[in-house]
Amino acid sequence: MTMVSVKNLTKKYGDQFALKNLSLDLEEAGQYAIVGASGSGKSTLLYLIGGLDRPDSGEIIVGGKSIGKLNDESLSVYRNKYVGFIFQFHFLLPSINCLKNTLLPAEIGGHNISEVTKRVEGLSEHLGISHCLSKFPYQLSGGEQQRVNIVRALSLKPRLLLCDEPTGNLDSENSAKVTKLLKDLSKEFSATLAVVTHDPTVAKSFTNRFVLKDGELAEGRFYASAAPPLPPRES
Amino acid sequence: MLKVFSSFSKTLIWDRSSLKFAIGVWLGLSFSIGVILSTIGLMDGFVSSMRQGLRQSSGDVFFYSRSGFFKLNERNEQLIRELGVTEMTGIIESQAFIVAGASSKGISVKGVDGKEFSKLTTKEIYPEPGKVIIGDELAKVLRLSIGDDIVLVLAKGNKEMDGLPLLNRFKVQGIIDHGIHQKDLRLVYVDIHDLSKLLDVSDRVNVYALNLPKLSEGEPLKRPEKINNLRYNLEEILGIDFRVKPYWYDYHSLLEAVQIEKVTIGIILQIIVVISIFNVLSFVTYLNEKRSREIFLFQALGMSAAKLRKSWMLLVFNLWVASCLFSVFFVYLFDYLLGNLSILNLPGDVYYLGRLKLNLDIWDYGVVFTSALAWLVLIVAIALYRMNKSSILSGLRKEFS
Repeated sequence: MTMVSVKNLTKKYGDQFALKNLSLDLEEAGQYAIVGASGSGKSTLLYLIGGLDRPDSGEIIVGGKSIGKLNDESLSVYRNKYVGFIFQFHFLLPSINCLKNTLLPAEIGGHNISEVTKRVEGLSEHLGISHCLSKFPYQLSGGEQQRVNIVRALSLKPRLLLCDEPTGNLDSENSAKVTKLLKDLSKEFSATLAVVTHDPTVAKSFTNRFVLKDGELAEGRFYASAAPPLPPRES
Repeated sequence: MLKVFSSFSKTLIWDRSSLKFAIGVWLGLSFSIGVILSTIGLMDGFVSSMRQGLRQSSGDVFFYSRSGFFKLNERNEQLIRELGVTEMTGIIESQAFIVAGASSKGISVKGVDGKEFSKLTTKEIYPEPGKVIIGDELAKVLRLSIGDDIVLVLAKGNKEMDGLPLLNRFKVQGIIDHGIHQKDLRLVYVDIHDLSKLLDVSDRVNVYALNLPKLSEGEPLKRPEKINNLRYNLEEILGIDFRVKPYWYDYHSLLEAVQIEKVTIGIILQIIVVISIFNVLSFVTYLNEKRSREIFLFQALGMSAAKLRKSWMLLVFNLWVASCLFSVFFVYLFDYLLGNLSILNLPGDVYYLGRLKLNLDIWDYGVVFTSALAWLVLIVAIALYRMNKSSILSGLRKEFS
């Protein structure tokens, strides 16, 4: 079942094309690597799917709804409820502790905080960072910060997990660990996982890969295959 | 929303430079609001002190006959009493010279019945026979103290100035302070019977002073229209032979000028509030630039542009509330300095009042605070609208550029 359908997507920054008439599908609970050189448009694609920007033309349909037609408020709800972002630079707020950082999406979306806190605590235990929750981000190592980042992204059980160079700041050992963790968690949460990376090792670990070049899907480098069908997610 | 706002504001102002900037902006806005409040308070204080001082030497209303000394007939007195007036007294007023040693000065002598006059003015002025009570500025100028001898040089009534001046020796019984420099410099109180005998006016007086009926202390200062109503009633009773004046009559043009000045200065001083608000604006712009990555994160995690604007406005609103509160401290500080620093003692030959005290009511605070808020909302809303035009990703792109 298609979770995200990208149709004829075009995005320009000034005179430069970031994406040119791009079309692709992401299956529900599928795991994808989006690969390409710097400036190939892979991050732009991720942010357009995540509702952080709007395309110049084309359509992005998520769960049967075109997100291009959503107003600012609905698009914010979409980002909050359906999308979990993981960034290369961790993006944890230094002024609040890690627990508050992980609860931020719940606070912004007005969700039940005690329920989300329980989930966050469970996930933290699972990722081995329970001891980090009361600490501030600057007291943690890079790997721990990225795990806190993952907990925050999964705190509202998103249907889409979008990762922009999640291993970019990590050594190869930690990089492999985080990649595996993301895959396991996306499976556990039945979330569609899209990882933007320029690391060939990370890219190779994914069966489904989209290779972008100059804003287009590169000919003959498309290894996407249908993900095994999964039962529909519980809401 | 409040939890998000708490995280948002902590994120924006968590480092030292942002905190210092915030404190600077807060103090600047507080000071600007404080300056406007103090200026208005000073003007109101001037008017209020002057009215209080004037009232303390004449009651709410006074009337005099166009033909000089008179005796109020029983019928008119009865009619006045029927208006509810209970505090009324006759006064003999005359121009004179006071001579103390080798110094002399032109003054205004008031012959008063101590009991009635004190009730009327709420000021303890009980001149005993053969004694005078003088204003403290006059005492300073002539270097007089209680118990000293002085000589009053009087003319003999309005219509009978054919004789030589009358010279009479008195003792200084007391020194009083009206709160108005000119009054303290010019007024000398004597017993009405002494002055009546000296001027040979028998039981006639040349001024009657009275108070509004049944009003609490201070109210006439706030309600000049009630005094005007009493004036019109008295004019009807007394007819055209008498002139009825409110206590502020001698200074009415000055008081009106101060009122106009207050409004004008209040408007002009809005400029300093606007300047402070531009500081707030630069603060918002600075934070928006410096924290673009964090703001991007809030939006990426689901904060809408409308919520982001609300958070900014809430931050600015809190700054306004804090500034308003702190401006009150500035007002009290200024009031304290005004009352205690000798450098702020006004020169009496220029100003009517020796010292000023700030006088502000809820209305003054309301107008100043609201106008500051209106400027703040207007200027910051325009800035936020312009800032909002940039895409969510601009914060992220800046990070990678």
